[in-house]
Amino acid sequence: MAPEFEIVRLNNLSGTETTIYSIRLLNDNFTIFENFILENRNEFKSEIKDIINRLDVIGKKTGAREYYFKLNEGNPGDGVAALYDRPKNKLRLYCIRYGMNLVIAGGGGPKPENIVALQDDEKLKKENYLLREVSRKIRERTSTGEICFINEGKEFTGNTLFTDED
Amino acid sequence: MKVKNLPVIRYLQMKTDKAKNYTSEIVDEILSDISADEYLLVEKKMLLAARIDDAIKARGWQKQDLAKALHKRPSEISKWLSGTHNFTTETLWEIEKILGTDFINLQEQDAEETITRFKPAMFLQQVAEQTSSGKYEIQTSNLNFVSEPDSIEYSRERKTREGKTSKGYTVKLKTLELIDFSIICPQKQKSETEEFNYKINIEHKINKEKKLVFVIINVNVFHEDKVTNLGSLKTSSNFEITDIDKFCEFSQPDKIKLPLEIIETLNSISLSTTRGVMFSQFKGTFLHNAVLPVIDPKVFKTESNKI
Repeated sequence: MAPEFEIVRLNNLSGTETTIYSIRLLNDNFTIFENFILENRNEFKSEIKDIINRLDVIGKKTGAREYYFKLNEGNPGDGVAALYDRPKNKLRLYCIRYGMNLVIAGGGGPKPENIVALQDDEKLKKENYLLREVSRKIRERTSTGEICFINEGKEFTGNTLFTDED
Repeated sequence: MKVKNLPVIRYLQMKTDKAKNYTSEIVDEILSDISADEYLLVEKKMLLAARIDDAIKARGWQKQDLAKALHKRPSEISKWLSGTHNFTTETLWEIEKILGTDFINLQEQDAEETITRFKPAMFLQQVAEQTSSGKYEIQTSNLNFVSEPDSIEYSRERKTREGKTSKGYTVKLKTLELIDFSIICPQKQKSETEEFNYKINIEHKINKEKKLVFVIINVNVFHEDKVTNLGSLKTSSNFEITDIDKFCEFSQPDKIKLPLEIIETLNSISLSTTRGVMFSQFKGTFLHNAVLPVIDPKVFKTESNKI
């Protein structure tokens, strides 16, 4: 079944350079980014702090420069990427990057050292494929004009609620 | 046909609908757990990477071009630009040479340069200044009844200090803000024995409804020639005073009188606090010994003698 979700703007991290959004599944109270934090903040506290620190700097100071992300982590052209963090860090956070000015922070998890591709880990695969699906649905709506980018590409406008009725 | 399904209605809705604004308490919790040092280190690394990225683009290059020029693999450049890399001085020097950019300027004897480590948007009109000449002359501005400045924020759970004065009202130091701070590199190295001169202004702003008094102190540090500005620092000490209505006279819509005792108390606390902030900001620099002198809070000159 296709996920039902809405796009929400994360006020805490958004700034003049980049707007940071996340996805809330309609059967959950938290966004998938918050679930990522809750799942990992005990075991990987300093890495979680580092990731949030980086997103905050992206939102308010530097913008979402392409080199801050490991690009092409999804299907060709869908914008799914992973945020780079400190070289020895284990956690992987998936995002959808729409240029310098708009990022959707998704979920992720620890990346085991023994895997080659994300598909080798069920958790990473699930989070990554969810973002691929989200990206596909957003692209459908942008192609029909139901969702637009405004404010120099910093914001979504339009119908950002995705349900089974669509 | 339902009205809501009319294409034009849907089009108009689409143009005005935005994604829901959401403030995450979980994100806030993590952000508040990040120390200023941790935050600045990450920020500095990302900004340095951004500057290198900009310098590459300014030459019309791509990262492969820089890799080729430096005999590195492109993946090495990607690592540098990720904003996570710890650069060695040698690597930075190599990049600077190739890109013709100065990422770390250590040449103090060059043209006068202001290093501003903290300079948010100014939100207050500076009052007229009076130069100190050996003495430390202080002036207060008119006391203006103003709304709360936008840029001052209050922490819900911040600890406060409070004390009672002889007249029974309670003064709480609620928050302290560093509004502006700069160090101006001198053209010539200064000797350690030289003396500094200071120009100090104190300004008060009051929010009657919230019982708040903002004491804004602006300190300028000058060379012993009393002309060359070496640095500045501006703080706002924000006090809550109980029963402020009983002690203040609101004679005109935009003027207010505070009892001298309150002014002296607030100024004394604020000057001491500013002295500490100055030391923490200037320590280790050539302004290390620019310690704000002890000042009698009674030695105030008020503008136009209106209080």
